[in-house]
Amino acid sequence: MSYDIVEKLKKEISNFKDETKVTDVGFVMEAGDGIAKVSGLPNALAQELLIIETSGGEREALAFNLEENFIGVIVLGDAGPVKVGDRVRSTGKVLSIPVGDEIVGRVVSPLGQPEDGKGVIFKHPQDAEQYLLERKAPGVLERESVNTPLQTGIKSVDSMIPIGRGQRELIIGDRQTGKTAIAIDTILNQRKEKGSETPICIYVAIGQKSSKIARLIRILEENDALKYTVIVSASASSSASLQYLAPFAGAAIGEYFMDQGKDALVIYDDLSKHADAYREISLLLRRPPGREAYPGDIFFIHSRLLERAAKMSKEHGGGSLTALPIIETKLGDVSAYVPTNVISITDGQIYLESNLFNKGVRPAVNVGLSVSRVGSSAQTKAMKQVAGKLRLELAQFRELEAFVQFASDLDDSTKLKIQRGQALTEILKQTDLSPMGFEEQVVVLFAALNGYIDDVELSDIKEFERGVLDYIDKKYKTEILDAIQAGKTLNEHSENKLKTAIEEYKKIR
Amino acid sequence: MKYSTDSYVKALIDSCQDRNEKEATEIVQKFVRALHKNGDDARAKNIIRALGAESLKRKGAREITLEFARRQKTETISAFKKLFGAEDRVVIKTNPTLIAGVRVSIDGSREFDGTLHGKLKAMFKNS
Repeated sequence: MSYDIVEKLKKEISNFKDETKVTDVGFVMEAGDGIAKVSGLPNALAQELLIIETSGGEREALAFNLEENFIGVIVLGDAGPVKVGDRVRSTGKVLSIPVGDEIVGRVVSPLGQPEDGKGVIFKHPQDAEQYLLERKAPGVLERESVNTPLQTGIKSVDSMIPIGRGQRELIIGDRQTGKTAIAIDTILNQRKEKGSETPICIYVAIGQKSSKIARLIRILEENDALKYTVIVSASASSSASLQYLAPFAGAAIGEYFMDQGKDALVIYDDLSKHADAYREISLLLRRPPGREAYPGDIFFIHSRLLERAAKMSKEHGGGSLTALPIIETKLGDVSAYVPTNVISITDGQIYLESNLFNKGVRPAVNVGLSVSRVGSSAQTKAMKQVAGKLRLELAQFRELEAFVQFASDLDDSTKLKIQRGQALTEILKQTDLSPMGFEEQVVVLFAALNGYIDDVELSDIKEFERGVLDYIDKKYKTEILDAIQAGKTLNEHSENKLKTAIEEYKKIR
Repeated sequence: MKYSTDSYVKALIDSCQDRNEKEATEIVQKFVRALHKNGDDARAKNIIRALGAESLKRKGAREITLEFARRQKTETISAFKKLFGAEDRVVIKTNPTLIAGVRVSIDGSREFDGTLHGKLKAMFKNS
């Protein structure tokens, strides 16, 4: 190894050209709270990467505010050693992150440094491609319509709020309503996808507890999902600047795979904390505060981030980047500033309610307020066939829900609607970390919507569901499950077999 | 804080223009009292620094900082000062970390690095 080092040094010396020239320089005028004011550097560009020479080594910083007499910079990483009088150099470069296939399965910081203790990511740094954190979104002509489903494995989502590859679907709800659980289940379900390459999943943790991130890594490892996942970590103990950059780093990593013609999924957990970090930086840099003290361009940072999710046309590789941003509301207020901003940007939302969660309806999806603007274009034909009536049945049930306590005084058709609604609500419940393949969802929803569970007690529905899936898996796997999986449709033969199978199971249970 | 550093500097310089020494001294004393009244005593250092820079700028002069690795003889410093204009303010500093050579900064924004430290850094920047 020492021989290699000596050879490398000899090469550096022989290639050295003594070019003394006049360069731009700046000096730190003020420093503190992760930001600094720098004088000099008259030709610095916005978002340019600067290097601060501190006593504790070099620190990278981003030129954020170009004022008349100074530059407001945010220090990336540990800002402790930065002090007044430190020299600042410009680099002429914009912030980028090294990406490559080796990054999959790793936990990285928003600057691309490994955080999982597994050593360097790239053995040969020159093999890594540098992807800009701030990059222009694909244009209209480079895209095509979203037409391929991204299965989350969650019955209530895949049946009524289907997500397609290249879509932006917001997950919104109060704290502790299961937002991250939906995201994790979506990641876990990708390993079940047959017939196409597993999408690369990128989970961006913004301002999350380190214990939560550690728990997530453990879950992914135990379920063999980490091998196709990248985790970008900017935990609550990270500086506001790293929390601000984290989603852009996640988008850059996703774009690398999208540019290769692959499918990628990026989850931003959560953009509320991202907005808070951006507000903190902006206020420290004395940018004029607007509504709720957020800077005036709070909409723009989220819109330009989420616009980078796309389904590319075949001429441009055919890859896709699907975005699942998460927003935390306070007391269910979806009309607050940042939530309404992101709702207007995304192609739909999955709204989680605390009331439903507390009542035991988990995932606590409010189907009435949730929507997917892509709709059935992102659903398999099989799911369209069985789930078409589901939303309507649930909507009718919600109208009549208040009358549940007066069940004995109602007419038969109303009683049936209420019973059916209760059964459907029960069948849509799902434990977390148990995503279901779409062919199994088709079977379950077919049974529910065609009256096969109308005579099953509510408390026995879960057991019925498990039992019928198990029965079909043992006796009719090829004719039903495999056929639906392969053809993505429920043809007449499979439908007849399915009816037979359910009736057989009901007789023997 | 009511007024920016630039506002203070501009106000003081404009007030002192075309005044004799006695009047200028009085104005500076009043300025210090005004700083105290506004609660901006802590910014006095920054204001003085900005005052120096603005004065030079108005004269069309520059602030040149020469950093040497070792203490230089008076003749050497004089020779360097002759390279610049009579109005330019030349500040001499000693910084042993430079190892050898001189680093010249102009108005805190442009720099010529002729030090051994700078050359070694450039040589091994990819290591």
